[in-house]
Amino acid sequence: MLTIQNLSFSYGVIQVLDDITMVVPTGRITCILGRNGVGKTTLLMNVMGLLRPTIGAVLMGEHDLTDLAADRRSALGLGLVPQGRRIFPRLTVIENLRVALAARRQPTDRIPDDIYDLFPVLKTMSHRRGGDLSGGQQQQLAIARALVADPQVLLLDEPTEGIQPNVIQHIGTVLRHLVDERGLTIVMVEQYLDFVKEIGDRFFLMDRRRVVAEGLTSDLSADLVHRHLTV
Amino acid sequence: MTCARAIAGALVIVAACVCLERPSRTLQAAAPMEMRGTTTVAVVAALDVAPAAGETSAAASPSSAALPDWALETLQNTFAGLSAGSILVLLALGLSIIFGLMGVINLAHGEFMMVGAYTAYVVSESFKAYLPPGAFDYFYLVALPLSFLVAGGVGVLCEYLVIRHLYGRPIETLLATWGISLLLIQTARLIFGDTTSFTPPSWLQGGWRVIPGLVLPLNRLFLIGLCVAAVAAVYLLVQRTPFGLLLRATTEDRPIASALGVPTRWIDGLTFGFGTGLAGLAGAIVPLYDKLNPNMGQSYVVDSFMVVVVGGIGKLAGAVVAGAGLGFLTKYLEPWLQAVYGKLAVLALIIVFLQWRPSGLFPDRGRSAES
Repeated sequence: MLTIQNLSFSYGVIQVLDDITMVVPTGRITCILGRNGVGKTTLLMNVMGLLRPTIGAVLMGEHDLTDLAADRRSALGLGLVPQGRRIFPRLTVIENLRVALAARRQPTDRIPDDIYDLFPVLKTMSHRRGGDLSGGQQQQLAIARALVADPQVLLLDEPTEGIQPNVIQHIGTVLRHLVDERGLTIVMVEQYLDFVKEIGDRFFLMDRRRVVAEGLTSDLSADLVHRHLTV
Repeated sequence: MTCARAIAGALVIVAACVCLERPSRTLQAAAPMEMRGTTTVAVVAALDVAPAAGETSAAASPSSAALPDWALETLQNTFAGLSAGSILVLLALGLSIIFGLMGVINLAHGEFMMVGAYTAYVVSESFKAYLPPGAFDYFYLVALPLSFLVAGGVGVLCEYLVIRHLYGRPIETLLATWGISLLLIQTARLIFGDTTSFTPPSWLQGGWRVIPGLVLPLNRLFLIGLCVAAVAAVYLLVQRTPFGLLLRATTEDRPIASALGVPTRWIDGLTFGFGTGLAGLAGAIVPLYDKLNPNMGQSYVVDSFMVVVVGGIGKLAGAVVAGAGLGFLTKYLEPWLQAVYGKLAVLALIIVFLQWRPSGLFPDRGRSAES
């Protein structure tokens, strides 16, 4: 179980997160909603360890992650699919996938077969450079790359951003499958409300640096959407 | 990227100033050797020709060589350029990898070369003092790997103590590495004094007579061979090993690499050590044809910075092509323009070249170039 406790964060004097507390249920898809600039991505960066909170803590199971670097958190089972995909552009598809294996000094550098079962398009692309892939292919590669490290908790930052509808559909199916069949826990920042309602289980709604509402995505009311999401 | 260009520009200016201030130490250092080379040629040619054509006095004239003068001279210059370029390539490889990964412009790079050179010197002295005279010829086989390891070790230490605290602050790292270079120079001067030298092993003395009138010095051949081997080793390490994969991933996107479990702190330290180790290896070669002094690194590092800038920052192929190219250019221009003006001509050409191709010989193209 991933827990964020009273976490605050500032870029210099500008406070971006104010006393965030979230208890993320295991084996569920939890969505973080909110307008642009309310601090969703900053929150994920704090959870992954790429930014350090001013105060507060991040816990996973019995581990206190707060003082650990990102690579240690990765070894403990936390994975990230970053906003904008951030594929290594000059590495081939297969090299992108192998990075996590090489980092763990695995005796084999073989990519698990099920990665290609989930994203068949990657098999045909394996020797193309990551930077030459289309946006939809890159997004699938970014998810596959995080899965190679075999995480228990996967953080996704806007996986549908700029992706065509049938690829979004495919990504949704894969994520739901990973949660239902393998017990993966997903925390997903997302702007696309229909996608959230379709595959999400729970939501946290953020507005102006704080969590303002939480609940089941099926209970996401028109009133909440109007007050905190519509512009 | 604009930052990198500004730094590149600044470096060329620094290079120009240093070269004008002290007319081209590298080339002066190289020049006596080349002269040594040519005298060897002359001597060997004379010895060769004299007995063969004992009675006829005309036989001693150079026209009796297998090739005409201009061809011999071109071959000589090509060879000299190749060997001068080799040292620069060895230095530029390390500089380029370090800059590509960490964004650190290592002004102390030449001093790591100096550390390698003095390591070889210490090994040579130890062999003389503690081992039977017959063993002396093999000291160089110990000195080469040890120069790599000692320079690499000092590099890892500097990274750990100083540089890692300054990542993301290019101006401070510039100052800090300059400080490290002064520190290393003065330390070497305290321990070893001003100028020393050692005797090269006998198997690296003399030359290989290719054709009548053309003798290639063995030490220079060895230098070229070692450079080729080092380039191949670096290529394999970066492209084919797990460490190389982690190095490339960290170079491209440090935070994302660490989120995938890459221990980027370790990668930084090891890479800095590897780059400075290559400089140390280059340093072990210099005493084969030149004297050692604590300042020796400074003259070389300016040229190798030019190689990195011309080749394109972080590009291995660029470093190799630019290093060899700069070596050729210098050696071809020297006979026409003398050392100092030859050097100035090379600098002017580089400045013109950078106007035409600001990102060097091999810039990134396509989608990935934007990121």
